[in-house]
Parts: sequence; structure tokens; C-alpha cells
Amino acid sequence: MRNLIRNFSIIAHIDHGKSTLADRMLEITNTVDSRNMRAQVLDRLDVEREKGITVKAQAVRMTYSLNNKSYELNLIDTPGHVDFSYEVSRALAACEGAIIIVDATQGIQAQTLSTINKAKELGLKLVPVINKIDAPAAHPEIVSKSMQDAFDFIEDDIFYVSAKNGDGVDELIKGVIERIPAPSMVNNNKLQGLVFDAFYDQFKGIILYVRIIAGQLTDKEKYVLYAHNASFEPIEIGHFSPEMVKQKTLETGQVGYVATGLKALEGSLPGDTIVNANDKDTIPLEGYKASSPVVFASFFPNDANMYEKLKDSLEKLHMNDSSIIWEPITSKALGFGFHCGFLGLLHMEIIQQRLEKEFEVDLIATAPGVQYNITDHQGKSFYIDSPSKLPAKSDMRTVKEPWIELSISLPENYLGSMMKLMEEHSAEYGSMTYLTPKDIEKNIEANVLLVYNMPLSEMIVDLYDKIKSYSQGFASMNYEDIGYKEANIVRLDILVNKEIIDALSLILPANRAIDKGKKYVAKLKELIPRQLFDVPIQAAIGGKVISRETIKALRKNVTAKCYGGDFTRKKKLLEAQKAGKKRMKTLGSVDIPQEAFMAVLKIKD
Amino acid sequence: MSNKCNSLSPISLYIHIPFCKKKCNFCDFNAYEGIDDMIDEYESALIKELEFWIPSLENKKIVSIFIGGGTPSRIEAKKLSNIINIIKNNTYLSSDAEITAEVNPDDIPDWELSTLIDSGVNRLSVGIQSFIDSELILLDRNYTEQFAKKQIKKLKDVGFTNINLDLMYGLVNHTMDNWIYSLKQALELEPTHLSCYALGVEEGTLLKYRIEQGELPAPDDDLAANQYEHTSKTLLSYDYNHYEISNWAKTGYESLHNSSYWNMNEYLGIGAGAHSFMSNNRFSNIKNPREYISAIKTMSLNVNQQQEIKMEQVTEGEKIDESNILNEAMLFGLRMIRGVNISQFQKKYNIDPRLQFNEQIERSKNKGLMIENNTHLKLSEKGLLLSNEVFEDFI
Repeated sequence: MRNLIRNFSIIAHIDHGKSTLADRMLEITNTVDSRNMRAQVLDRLDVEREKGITVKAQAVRMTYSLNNKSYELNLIDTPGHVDFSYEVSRALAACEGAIIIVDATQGIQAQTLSTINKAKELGLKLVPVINKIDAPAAHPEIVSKSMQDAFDFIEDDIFYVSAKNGDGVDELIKGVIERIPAPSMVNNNKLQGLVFDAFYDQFKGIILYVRIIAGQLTDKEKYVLYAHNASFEPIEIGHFSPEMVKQKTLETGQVGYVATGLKALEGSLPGDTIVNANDKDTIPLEGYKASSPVVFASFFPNDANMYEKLKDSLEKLHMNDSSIIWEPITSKALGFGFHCGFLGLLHMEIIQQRLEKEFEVDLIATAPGVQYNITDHQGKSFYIDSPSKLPAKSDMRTVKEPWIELSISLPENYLGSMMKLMEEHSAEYGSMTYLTPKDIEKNIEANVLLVYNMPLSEMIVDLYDKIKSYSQGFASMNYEDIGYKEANIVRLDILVNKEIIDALSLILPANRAIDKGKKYVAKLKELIPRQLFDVPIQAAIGGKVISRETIKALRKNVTAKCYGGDFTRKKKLLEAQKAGKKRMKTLGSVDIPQEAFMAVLKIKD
Repeated sequence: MSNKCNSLSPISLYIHIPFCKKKCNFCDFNAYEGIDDMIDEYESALIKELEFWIPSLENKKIVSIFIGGGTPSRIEAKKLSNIINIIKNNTYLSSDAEITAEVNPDDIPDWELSTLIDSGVNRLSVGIQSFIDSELILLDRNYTEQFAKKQIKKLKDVGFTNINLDLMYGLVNHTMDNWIYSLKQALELEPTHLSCYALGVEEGTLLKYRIEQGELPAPDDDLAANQYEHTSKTLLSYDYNHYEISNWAKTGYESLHNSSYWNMNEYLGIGAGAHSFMSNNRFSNIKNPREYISAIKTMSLNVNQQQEIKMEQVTEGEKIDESNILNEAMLFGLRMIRGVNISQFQKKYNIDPRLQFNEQIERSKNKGLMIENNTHLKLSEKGLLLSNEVFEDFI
């Protein structure tokens, strides 16, 4: 039985066809009827479908017959974006092998390199695949050569497929069975179930995705989540195919789910171990190294009445995404909200979208920032992650900020513009490697890997979008933390009628503060309606005003004609005027529409 | 009849003529071009509606009639005269009633002005808007400065002595110099009354569409404010009495009809889309002229059951409750330069406005928009141009 199980992931860069390949496998194994095939079944979250990326790890079971034996194939999905390397490692830990997809038209990407290295560290068997071989711009031989060079694959290792039309997928499934080892048997037969994901179901409580490393899980016995010390009796166990299918037991090597009936648990579930209730001396599995947030921003409900719902929604989200952290805050401008930490900018965007779409809480998000390390004159060192906590310059001996190593893979002809972009963002050149050489005959540009070091804060503004647009979409990137370095930063405050608008304060490099301040001030001038008095709008650094505009006092708000005729309508216009003012926030006796805050927060560099 | 008059309550009549040769791009009034074929039927409908109302006017004294539009001069003078005669013959029309008709300069040559005078029209309101040819084109007005001047002189020659001129400032691409010029031309014609309106960019107008499309710039509010201040100063020096936000008159020539709106007196509107205020009810007729005509046609007049008559032409009505009557009295009263007369307010509504609106008055005074003296509550000079900031508090 155990020998017929294969647990594997698919590792791929965004758009290299991971979801499409998964779809074909589901079809070929008759797991999903092709008629019922919603394109890309595995991308369950709306956000995923919208962004064309996979965020949450998912697991689906397929069966496939080979040589009169029926194999159980568990495909554990991995997220395809750089923010989610933590989730990738969760998924990979539940597998014995992984399919590595590289796009035949694009070749190896920056991120593929880092994920493959991670899989190798975990000791997974890798199955290299070149996808999109039917695409007009495909150059599979060149890509194959570069994969052999970069990862020591041999020509015979590599599968050539078109996930779109299914060519080669059947052979690939056979390859998975032949090359990826079956789960190994553990001597001790006591249950060890590795939790690699979780979500909340309002009827069945917390549902855990589990890989049985040793022993057996049944729906009869009592279990304990080791790290949480929470006991439960399964309400239901089973697997995803891709919908939930009940089964009586999960055996060693199998992947499936357990509905616990538990309502809420503090802390991260993935990484915990399920053990038998009367086997408390079982040694738990090694959990995952928790990934710590690097990007911080505050979320405020658009409608103050939604605060509780926002809080509740964050708690629900945390159940399968333990990487998000938050604490309550109060802003004079935006009311009650939460200061949150994320794995990256995309992670922040995804959380924001999930809150808005799944949980239906409209949000205002403040500008994202990073965590700074401050050392004061007494030598005390601490971290701050919001502008309001940044001490005065005179109170800081040093300020350090997180740096990253940024790898960009791109066609050679974009090198010049990319290097210029890096320079503009204070990036320090590291290295340049040719992944694939130029092919003059076929008119294919060389694929180059550029490595730079730079502050993370530069990255999270809008550099990702710029990298894409400077290379007309051809570049891809990956980054890794490389520790803290000294920073030259300031806090920019925006004042309306001499009062600081707390939600608009931000920390940024000193050389960019003036420009940003001017943009903020100009935007506010445009969006704050004229008041009955002159309203100064200022940008200030450490109390020194660096930009100022004045909204001149309103001089005319009059209904020129008012006779008997349409008095009812005139009254309605006055009612609308009054209601409009009610919706505004009054700060420093200035009525400011919410849209003004939102528009300013959306300003990019 | 005359000894009875003293016990009658005053009421004003408004008669709406929705026809226009050309609908101006800034106009959001109930006015239409290209429906002149309806004029005869419309006249019949007006008369029929008037006849419906005659029994209800039994205990009222009509103090003013205003024939407005659209363009009243679009229909034959004798049709208007006919309607005025029906009013004269069937109601108590005050002997010194102000009877105004609106006139468009380019209709004057074809109008039988003597018929109008004979029927009792004693005041004309001429929609000149500007004395600068390029502005007249921009405003869709189909005449020139010289033509307009000639027509005003003609009105005077045939015997009209009480003439109002409508002018507009704060136009798209307007300048102070242009406004000074237009105002000066108006003054040289020595009208008894001047209405100066800031151009409003109203919902649903062609002008608004063009501005939103970026074809035209929005009017400059600060320029309009300067122009308004210039107007006040100039007209004061010419001995015009500034008596309402947008209205100036030689002493004794303040519009009786319009003042009745601002004093919360009763008025009855006849015609498509016409509004009325009677017994603390605000109501209005069907706006679309064709639908108005057919609604009137379906009504049958049964004098014996006049209480039962359903006014088919009325579409919207609202009973104004007591507190809102007080609000409205402030909203209208404050439009007048002299403001709300405290003792008269108290007499009419049995409450001191300073008590009723203590908070609102304080707020507006603190903002420098309102002035309170022993007898009146009124807008300050700054408050006139920012009156909506005051008024929103009385909603």
C-alpha cells in the first residue's frame, strides 16, 4: 500500500504553467471530469485566480494505474511568488519529490533557482520539466542545456510537455511514479501527522491538512495537536479529490484532511504535529522555521462599524496564514484599525484582497514600510515598524534597515535599462551570470541573471512593477534577506492646518523625502475642498517644513437663483452638501474627505 | 368687492410658458425648443387648469402675477392677455397687482406690446444676460449687443416703465473687464431693476457636460466673487437698492412677486412643472408639457363637487411640518439683504427665531457669516456669497 503512494509538489515560476499542468494531471487521472473542469481547479482563492498565482498550499489526491498497479498520487501545491517562500517550504516538507517546471519560451528565472535550492536542501527528488514546447517562441533545447548546466540534470532526466494540450503529461505522470520514492516506513508505529495547512469551516471547525509521517489516523480515536496541546476527536477525516472525500483512516505516507471541530486556536497551525492522545511522549516532528514579517502597514475599516468584523476576519485568516501579525492602533485621521506585518508587498496585497472579498470588509491601507533597527545613545537597541514610533534624530545613535539580495533574470537586451533602474534605487551591484547564451541563428537573446544588494524599503515601493515595465514584462525576480545595514532615513509628516495627519506619516530615505512631500502636499491641495479660511498644507521633516501649499479660503458658495420654482430641489442640494460634510473627517478644524487620504496613500513614486 | 379685500389673504400666481426658440446650454429650467406645435393645446390646458383653481381662490387676493418660462414672448401676446383677463374676471386681482412677463430680446419685434400693456402687464423682465457679442454666442443667445439695446429702448417707447434686466457673471472664460462693460451698458439703459446671477453649472445641462468632457473650463469662482463685489459697489453708487442676494432695484421697484417667495407668502403655479405653496403644502405639476396637457385633458370639471376634484396634473406634494416651515422662513428670509425681521417672524410663527435657532445663529456668527442686530438677523457681506454654508444648518 505505502509503496504505491507518491507525494510531490510542482515548483514553478509564475506563468510557467503550474496550474495548467495540475489541471491536465487531474484530467488524465480522471480526478476531475474534463467537462467539469473549471480552469485551474487548484487555485481556490479568488485572489489567486485574479492574480494568476497560487497562494495557499493545497493538496489533491489522484489515482493512476501503471503495470496493473493503482498508484495514489498526492499533489501538494506550492505558492509561486517570492513572498511565499515560507509556504513553499511547508508544502515541500510534506513531499518526497517535486516537479520543476521551466517555461520553454522564458528559460530559468531568478526564483526557480532559489526554490530548487530549497527543495535540494530538503532532500527531495526533483523531476525537471520543460513546458510550453508547442509555443511559437519555444526554444526547449537551449532551456534544456541551461538546466543541465545550472542544476546538474542530465538530458534524459528532462521531460518535455505542453500542459496546455496535454502532450507529454502522461509520460510525466509515469516519470513521477518511477523516479519519486514512495514514503519511507518509520520503525516506530506511533502516529506523527505533519500539519502543513489549515482552514476554518463554520460547520466542521478547524480543518487540518495533514501528511501522515508515521502511524495511522482514524476517526475513532482521540488526538492531540502537540504544540498547541489541544485535544480533539476527528469529526471527519478524508482527502481532497479535489472536493472533500471521507475515508475511515489515513495511513503512513498518506496525505489528507482532519476536521477537528475546534473553533479557534492561538498561534500557527502549520508545522504542528498530530499525535495520539495516549502517546504524549511521542517526539513531535520538526516544525517549520516561522517566517517573520518584513513589510508593515496599517489597515483601517472604511466604515468604523466594521472594526470588530475586521478583527474577527484577521483571526480567521491567521488560521491558515500564520505569517500575518497585527496589533490594534488608533489614528486621529482614520479611527480604529490594526497595524499589520506581512511577508512582502504581494502578501500584503493578498491579505487586503482576501479581507475585502472573502470577508467583505472595505479597507484603507497606509503606505507599507519596513522594520528599522534603532540604537539609542545609551546603546539600547530596538526595532520599530511604524513612523509614529521613530525617535527624534537626536535620540538615535544609529538606524539600520533590512537589506535584500535581489536576483533578476532577464533577456540581455534589457540589461542597460535594468542597471539604470537599479542605480536609481540605490542598489549595489553584485554579479552578473549568463544562464543561457545568445542564439544568433534563432534570434534568441541571452538570458542573464543580475544580482544586486539593496534596501528592502526600495523594493516595496513599486520596484516590482518597474522591473516588469522596464523589461516589457520579460524580467523576473527573487529576493532574500541579507540582514540589516545602516540607513539614512527620515520621517515625513504631513500637516493640514498645522496639525499632523498621523495616517500619512512615513519613513523614507532622506534623499527622497522632499519629492514625496511635494507630491503629498500637491495631492491634498487638489482633494481637500476649500474651507471658510485659508488652509496651509505642509510637509515637514523633523519639524522643518519642506513643502507648503495653501488652499485658499472658499469665497463663493451661493445659490444665485432661488425663487418659488424649485425650492424643493434647492433644499435637496443643501441636504447633499450637508451630508457630504458629515462624511468627512474634521482634523485641525478642516473637513477632509476620506477619498483624500486614500488618494494620497495610493501615490507611487 | 373692495371692502371685502382687506379680509382676504394674499396670494401670487405664477404661469409657466415652457417654449423656447432655442434651449440655452446653461439652462436647467423646464423649457424646450421645437415643441411650438403644442402652443395652442398648452394655452387651452393653462386656461382649464386656471378654471379648476378659481373656486379655491375665492378667499384670496391676487397681489402679483408672474408669467415666466421658458420664454413667454414665444407665444402671442393676445394669448397671455387672454389668460390675464380670465384671472381679472374671475378672481380678486388687486388693483395695484404687479404683473410681470419675461421677455427674450429677439422676440420683441414680433410681439404686440400694446396688447400686453392693455391687458395689464406692468413689468417686463428681459433676459439680456450679457452685452458682449462673443459671450452671447457662448450663451446660445441669438442677438447682438446693439440689437438688445434697441429692443429695450423700444419697450420704453411703447410705455413700459418698470423693466428688469437679467445679467450673468462668472461665465466660462469670463473677465472682470467684460463684466464691467456689460454692467455699464445695462446701467445706461436705466432699468428700474437688475437681477445679476452667477452662472450655475447645473446638473443635466449641455454646459455641464462640456465642462466634464474638458471641452470648456469650469467658471472661476474667485473671479465670480470679485465680480459680485464689483456689482454691489457699482449698483450702490447708481442708487440701486440691493434687496436680495442677486437682486437690485430702484426704491419702490423691488419685485413684489419675488418678494412674496422670500416672505413665505402663498403662491399658486399654473402650467407644466409649476410649483405652488399653499396652506403649508409645497406641490408641483407634471413637468413634461405633453404629459401635463394630457393630464389636464382627463380632468372633468364639476363645480358642485369641487372639493373632490383630483388634481391630475399634480405630481409631487409635500406637507411642510411646523419646524420645517420655520427652517424655510430662515432660508428664504436670509436671502434678503435686510434679513429676517425678528418681531415679524415672532408674530407670524409665535416663536423668537433667536431662541429657535440659537445654535445655528451662533455658529454662523462665529464664522463671520451672519449679523444680528436689535431688529434683524441677516447675512454679513461675506455671508451673502457663502450663504449655502449658512443655509445647510437650517436643513
